[in-house]
Amino acid sequence: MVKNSRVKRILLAKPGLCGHDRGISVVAMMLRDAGMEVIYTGLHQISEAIVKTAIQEGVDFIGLNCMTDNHMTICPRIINLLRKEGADIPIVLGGIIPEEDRPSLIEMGIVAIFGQASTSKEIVNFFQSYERK
Amino acid sequence: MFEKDKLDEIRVAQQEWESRHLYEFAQESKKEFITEDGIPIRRIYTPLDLEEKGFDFLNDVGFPGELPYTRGITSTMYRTKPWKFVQYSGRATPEESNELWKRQLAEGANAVVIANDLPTQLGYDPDHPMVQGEVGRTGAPISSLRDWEVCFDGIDIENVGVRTVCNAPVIFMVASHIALAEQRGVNISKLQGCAQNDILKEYIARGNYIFPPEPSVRLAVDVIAYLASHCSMYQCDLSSVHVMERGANKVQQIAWGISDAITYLESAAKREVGVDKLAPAMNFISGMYHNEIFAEVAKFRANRKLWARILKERFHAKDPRSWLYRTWIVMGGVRQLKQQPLNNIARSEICSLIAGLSGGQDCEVKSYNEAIGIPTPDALTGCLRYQQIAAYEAGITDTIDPFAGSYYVEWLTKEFEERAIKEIERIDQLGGMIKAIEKGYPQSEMTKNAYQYQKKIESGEVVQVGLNKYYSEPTAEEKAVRPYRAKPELEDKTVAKIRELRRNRDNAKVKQRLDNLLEMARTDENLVPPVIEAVKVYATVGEICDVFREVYGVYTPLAIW
Repeated sequence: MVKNSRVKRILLAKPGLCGHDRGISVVAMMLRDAGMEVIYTGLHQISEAIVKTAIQEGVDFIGLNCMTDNHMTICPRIINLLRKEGADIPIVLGGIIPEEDRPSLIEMGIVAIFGQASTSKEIVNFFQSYERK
Repeated sequence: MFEKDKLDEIRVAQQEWESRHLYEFAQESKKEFITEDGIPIRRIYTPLDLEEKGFDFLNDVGFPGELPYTRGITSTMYRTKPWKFVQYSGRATPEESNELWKRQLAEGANAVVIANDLPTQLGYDPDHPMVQGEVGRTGAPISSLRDWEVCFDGIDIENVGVRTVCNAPVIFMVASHIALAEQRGVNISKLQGCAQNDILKEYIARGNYIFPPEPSVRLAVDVIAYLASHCSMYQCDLSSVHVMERGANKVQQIAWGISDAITYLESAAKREVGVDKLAPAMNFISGMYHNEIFAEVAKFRANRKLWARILKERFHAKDPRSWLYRTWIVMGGVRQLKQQPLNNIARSEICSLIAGLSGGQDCEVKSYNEAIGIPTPDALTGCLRYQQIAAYEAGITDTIDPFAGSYYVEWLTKEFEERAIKEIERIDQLGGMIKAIEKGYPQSEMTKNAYQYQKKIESGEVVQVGLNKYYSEPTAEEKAVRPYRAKPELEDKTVAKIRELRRNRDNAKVKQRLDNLLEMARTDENLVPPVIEAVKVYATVGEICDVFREVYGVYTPLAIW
């Protein structure tokens, strides 16, 4: 497996109304310290704006943070918007995601799900070694 | 406080003791012991350490119910009755919430503490395009007086305290409670409870703001001033628990909480609302974790003392009620773990003890399944029981401020006081809390702390039992622990209900009262009365906030991390 050595660009986004951004800020610091380029949207983003920013910035990943049980609405919406725009950008999800939802999220195309216990090593490794299928 | 001869004797004895045990000291588990605030912790504390701090019993500790208030805000504290047991909660509909709150009251909860969904907290009606998938998810959707009526059906609001946690549209929440009281013939001066009304911490840490800071502070002051004049038993909560959850250390929690309050008091003074009118209507929500029991107790003691001093010296408050740091101590949720979830009960019990040992007026702890999602009803009952066990079985309520006189706790109390004074000065130097927020100062401080803490978890320096120490694969029993989840189809029901409300109310009256509110929002008049008038004819939270959006605009946050 040959790793892509180009600096990864990652859009971190808070979709919806949730204002809890401790987790996503910490992840932003982890990725930046690992040499990746991070763009953070700030709070209260609508799905359309997230997709637009991701395409404009030419990012390699979209990282979404959902803490309020809105992920089953937000994730399909963003996947559909990307599809409509013909953009193939892998989506990574973090936050409070119940176990029972994980299989259907993976099936709809979310490439990885991180949570409270995830370590910076796991998260950074994932982004650095991810290969498109 | 201490006689010089005695201190010299202690000094010599301590030096001799140290010289006899150097070998054992070298075997200690760590080179340095440091609190989360970076305060080095000494091996032992003696009168020498207090002498070094200039400790003075009467000035630093004194007696409860009087200045300096270190020991507590009343002269008998829990010897009269324990702190109030409360539990933040809400469900996907007003009906389900009502049922849950009645159950909690029957179980010994001393108040209803409303958890709202996010659309309500951000001033959107449930059919707004922005809120799809969020209605009823984190708590009760309350969009009009109709929902408020359902929420409190069969609950005696004359005798049961009601606390709201909905800051940006707080004026709507307070107006709804007053309108319901009038409808039921309850004298509004009898209403008990608190409205969380600290918009500044929303910009810093919680993210549920709507309008820019200046007009938001104006709305906050309107609410405090109105309640102080008309509902003296219904107060406003300012909160430092959210900055704690976002990463603020203990010194920052004390200092930023006080700096927020200073902003409201100064804004009120500009509108000629005096400190002795405003301050007695202020209540504080402060946070705790289970990790540093002694530092938590010292933090609350220092906070009480500092508040009294600042109100007296900086604001020249004359009314002793203005000096009281009334506090609802809330356990944070960030350190509850998903792994081995039943261990969280022990963390909650430690916090119940901390609240009681710190002299809190109210307490709330977290449920064992909160790390997974919204707590189930039985888990919420547990939260009340952990506190009731601390209050009635653990023997901590018999004497007041039992840690007073502990060399360690007194030393830490002085240390927190000194550090918090410096941090308040720093906020003053930045031009006050609004300017500090605009510069991103508290935001980036918290992220820095949160990131450091994460690194310490990963290195094992911070131990999390069940996660980075004593980890075990989840058992079937642990996997079966589930949170409460709102049924997604209830969102459609809530949307249908608000559309029906808009069809059936007197829309001409609604328009007239919203127009009146719009006109008054452009003046300096207190806006609580016109909001009450609008609420009474079933104007919705979205419509009322739209009026303010039109006049004040909306806040565009800085993406700081």
